[in-house]
Amino acid sequence: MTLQTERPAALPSPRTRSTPRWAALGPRNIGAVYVLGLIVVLFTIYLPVTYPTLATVKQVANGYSITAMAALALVVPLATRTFDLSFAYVMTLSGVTAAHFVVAGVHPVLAMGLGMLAALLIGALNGLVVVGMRIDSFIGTLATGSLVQASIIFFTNDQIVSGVELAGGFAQLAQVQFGGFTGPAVYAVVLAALLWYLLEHTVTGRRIYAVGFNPDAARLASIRVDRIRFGALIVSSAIAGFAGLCLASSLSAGSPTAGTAYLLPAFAAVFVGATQLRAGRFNAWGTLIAVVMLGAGTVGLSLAAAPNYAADMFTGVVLIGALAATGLQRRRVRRG
Amino acid sequence: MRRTTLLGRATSAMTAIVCVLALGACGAGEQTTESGPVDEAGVQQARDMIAEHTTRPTELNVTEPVGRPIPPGKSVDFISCAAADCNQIAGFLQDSVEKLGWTLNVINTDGSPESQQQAFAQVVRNKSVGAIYIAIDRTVYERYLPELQANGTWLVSACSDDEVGDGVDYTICTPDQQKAAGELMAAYLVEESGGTANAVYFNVPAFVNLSKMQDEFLATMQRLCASCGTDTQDIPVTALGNAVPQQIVGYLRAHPEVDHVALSIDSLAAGLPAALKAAGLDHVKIVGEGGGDTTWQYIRTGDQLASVPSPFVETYLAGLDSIVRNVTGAPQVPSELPRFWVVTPDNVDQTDPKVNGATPVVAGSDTMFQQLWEGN
Amino acid sequence: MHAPPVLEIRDLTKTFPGTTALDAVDLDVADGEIHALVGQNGSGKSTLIKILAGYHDPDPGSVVTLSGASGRERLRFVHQDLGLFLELSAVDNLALRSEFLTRAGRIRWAAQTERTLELLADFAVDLDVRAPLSSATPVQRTVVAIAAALAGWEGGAGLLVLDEPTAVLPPAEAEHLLEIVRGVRARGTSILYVSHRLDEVLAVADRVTVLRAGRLVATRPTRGLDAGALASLMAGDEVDAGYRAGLPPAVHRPVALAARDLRARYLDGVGLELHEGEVLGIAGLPGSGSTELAHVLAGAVPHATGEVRLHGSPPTPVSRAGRLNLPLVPSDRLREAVLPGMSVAENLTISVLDRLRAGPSLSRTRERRLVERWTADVRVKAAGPMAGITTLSGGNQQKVVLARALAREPAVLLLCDPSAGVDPAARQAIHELVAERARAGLAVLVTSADPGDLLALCTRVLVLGNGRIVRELTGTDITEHGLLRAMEETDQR
Repeated sequence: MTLQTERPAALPSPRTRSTPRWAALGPRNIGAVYVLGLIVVLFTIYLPVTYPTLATVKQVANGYSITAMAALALVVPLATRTFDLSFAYVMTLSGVTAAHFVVAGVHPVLAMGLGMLAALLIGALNGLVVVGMRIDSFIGTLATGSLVQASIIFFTNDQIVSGVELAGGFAQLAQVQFGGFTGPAVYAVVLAALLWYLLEHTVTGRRIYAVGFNPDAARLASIRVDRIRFGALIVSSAIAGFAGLCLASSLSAGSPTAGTAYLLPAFAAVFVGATQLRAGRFNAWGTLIAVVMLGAGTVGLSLAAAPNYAADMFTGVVLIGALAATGLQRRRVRRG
Repeated sequence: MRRTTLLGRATSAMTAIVCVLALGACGAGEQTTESGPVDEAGVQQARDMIAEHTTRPTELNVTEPVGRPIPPGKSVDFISCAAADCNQIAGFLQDSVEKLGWTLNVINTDGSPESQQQAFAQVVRNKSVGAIYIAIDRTVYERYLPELQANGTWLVSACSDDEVGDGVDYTICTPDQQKAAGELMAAYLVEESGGTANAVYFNVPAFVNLSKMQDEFLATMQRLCASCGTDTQDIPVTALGNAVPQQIVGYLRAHPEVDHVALSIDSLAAGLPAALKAAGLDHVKIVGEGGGDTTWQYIRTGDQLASVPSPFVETYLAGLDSIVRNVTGAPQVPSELPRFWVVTPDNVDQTDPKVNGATPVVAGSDTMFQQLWEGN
Repeated sequence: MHAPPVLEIRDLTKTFPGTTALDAVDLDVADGEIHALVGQNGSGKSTLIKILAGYHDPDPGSVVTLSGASGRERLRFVHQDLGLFLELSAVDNLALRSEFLTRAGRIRWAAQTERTLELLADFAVDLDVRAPLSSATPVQRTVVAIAAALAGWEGGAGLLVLDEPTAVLPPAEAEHLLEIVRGVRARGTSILYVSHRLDEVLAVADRVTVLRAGRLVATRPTRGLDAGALASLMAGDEVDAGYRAGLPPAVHRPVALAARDLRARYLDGVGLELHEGEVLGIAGLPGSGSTELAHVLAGAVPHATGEVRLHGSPPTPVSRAGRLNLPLVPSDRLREAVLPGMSVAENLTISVLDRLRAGPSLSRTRERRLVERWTADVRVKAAGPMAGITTLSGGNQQKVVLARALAREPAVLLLCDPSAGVDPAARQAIHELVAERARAGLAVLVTSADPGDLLALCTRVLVLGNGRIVRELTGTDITEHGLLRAMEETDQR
């Protein structure tokens, strides 16, 4: 009973906590923010003219917004301890589908709707495989992802879908600007806010985390575990589908391999995010912080015209640095 | 205790980041800018070059018909790759091989040395009259060369830095043959800017057949416009997925005087126009080498200034031509690519029609090759 | 028996902080003897075995002597969980325990298989030695574990400790195992046989030692002893000073829960009625179905059939009982109840979130009020509602889990092993809490491996045997002795 107080009966009032409020700002809780601060300070010293500018802020926001959305797609399934490796292929799928219909002359909004529909279908397929057929989610979504990639190559003959039509209304989705920030940067923040609300302030969010922490206990506590997992896979496909639309819109092309490059960065960001703010829980703002941390460094390196191995080396070093600063999740003493 | 460990962690994290920054500093490129009067003679020379090269070539360099009967029923192997382009190549090779009354075996690889070795093992088993492969390192297939020679398989190495000899029978799309594209990119920038361009050249060192373009680009800039600024940057092949636009934007923000970007391969431009717009760098103009549907689209919509198309229809059909000559016993002709041309908004409509999705440099080059073979 | 005893224990004492698990126990196992060790939960028999296995050190002054020069070499164990790898075959398991036959670093599988067949030949079991053990029957697995323990023991002289080997075996298979135990003895091995199935003990052992509350009660020859006498020795005549809720009988009150024809892996047609304000106990040996019953009622066992009916609602098949307001407090707290990584408050409210909705949101104010009320009600000691659940002691975690169930304001509560892994003070607090709710009209069904829970709370106890109800105990019949006798009887059927 290590943390037990001496009070005999009722709990102390909820306002007295075991940890003081300032602890929320300690490096244990937000190590990535400290690493981000360090990155900013060092680059500011090294590149005093070009780095500490609004333009850098915009470049980080605009350049990493699609990575951010890809990472946000993973927050909900991972919170239920369900992997979704197919999300990168879903990004490709929705982009290629929408691009195909735009080039064929369909109204951009309708084409985007069709792209989203394709993404949602894969979400339902994932649900069927993982929840219905009880196949391990890691393997199951790897399999559906391969099937998605195969069908994309089949339908596109591995060719990039292109056409001047893509430069019209469709390009607006990602290329529209709000005060210097592109659409995806704004969407990513809105999405993070929605996910934060869902996970922290709704009944469903609480149940999502419960399923992730202990599905057996959640089931006995009358939570419909299968339904939550199925929904989580639909949510990830929907967000990934939207990120894929933004990607295709920003490329003005439907590339049959566009999404694959986001697989590892998104997982890196979401796992770093899980150590931030709400230690041990996959959460939206932590994920955004992680993306910004990685983006701020990578942009700095490109401003410094670093050699071509520097970006990968930086990513590796910073991931370890952020996790070390936060401290590995210690196994807490279970009983006193 | 806790305090020390935190401090320790922070120190190690900081040390690591400082190291990375130091590495960044070592590799920073040097911008060469010499201010001076515009070299009018150079600009005029560039203008003349571009005027000549914005018209499309109409003839192949190979004009000597084979002149001997083609034995039927032979087979040719093509070691394909994972990229979209390889699908197109396989498509138009298939058409031409069928015209010969031969069959084409397309052997797929995923780019790994292992799959490439398996492909060569397959070529050994097939005992075909010839095999065409793209940019595969010699060490990968070295051990198959004796058997391939024993089988009489004519090896065509495309777009690599291999040299003829020691089992490799024919090379095309070599660094020397490609370098003229660098000259044209430079000339176009000089002409377009009227001799005031400040340009950066992005190279992908992994594509060895493009290795000499960069030197040619820099030399031409120096020759035609000594006062123009030039710089070069390397892009790792692993960045090709999604990291390239941010790397280029970062460079341009650090070097605000740079107003032209030359890309050693057009696929580096994917997503770049949108990233430039988002960063308020719309004034920067892009030229590239390679071509393809996305590039034609970017040129049509004004996102890209111009491109020097890679003559890859001619490359692979020339390779097939050398196989045909070897089989029939006709004398080989020198390996040569057609002259390059520059695609601009004015002539981008000429990029149609295509040969199996690919735009040939010489319109109708596939039928021209086929005519060389059916002479008798 | 003039040969020196194989095992000689004198004055064995083991104290843990706060309790004395063993108090000056003496025990001899003669050469070639099957010696049984019996006692209830908490009697100290598992501590004794752990000391023999070297897991605990005895207190100074204790003497444990194994005859023969090589001491512990002459002692082998088969623990209750058997310690086998079910994914591997019998050959692999035996090879792992002894050592692989190798030549030049290569495992000689043919020789290994041959030796396995040789070792198992003595036991007359029909087993595919190359198939994974997961496909073998429980008795076959036990045999493999015994063979593995005996492997490499030349001559066979020594002591084999069998810890509850028949706990999960149906009676017919248990009979087969007893034959095997006799066969092992015939090879010259002495056996210390730990069990709480008294009929088995009487059938197989030469002598039996009874422990109660850490003390030696008696060592007797089994000849002339019957199960009743043995149960008396185990339970003792002293009045149990433990907590008694003293609830009034409630069989005349309205039925709160009625179940019909429950069938599942261990249940073979059980029906029962539970009345308002009643605490109904379910007792039975492992495998009798008693532990499964509550989970079946809660709809948590796949493929179970039967029907459950709560007062005022239509009959529901158990497959859909999960939707009823029928909360279950499981016995395996860590695996089935606690949400690690979540706070006390989150653990408490997880089942009643629907009541905390305010529009689309979760109302923090209402949640706080609910948590305050319930943590006070069940007297949870924690650093605060935001403290992580895993920072609490087992007893306080259990109180939170109990509060989670009670917060659903059910008419019926299902409790499994409510005081497992809980310290004595918390145990009493939990008993009092349940009794208090029962007085207020809550119907409670308690299943427990610990007779103490049933004695403390129940007004009526159903005893299960082979998946059926075989006895019903009420009022003054509910004693420790009575419960033990009733469970033992089920085993003789």
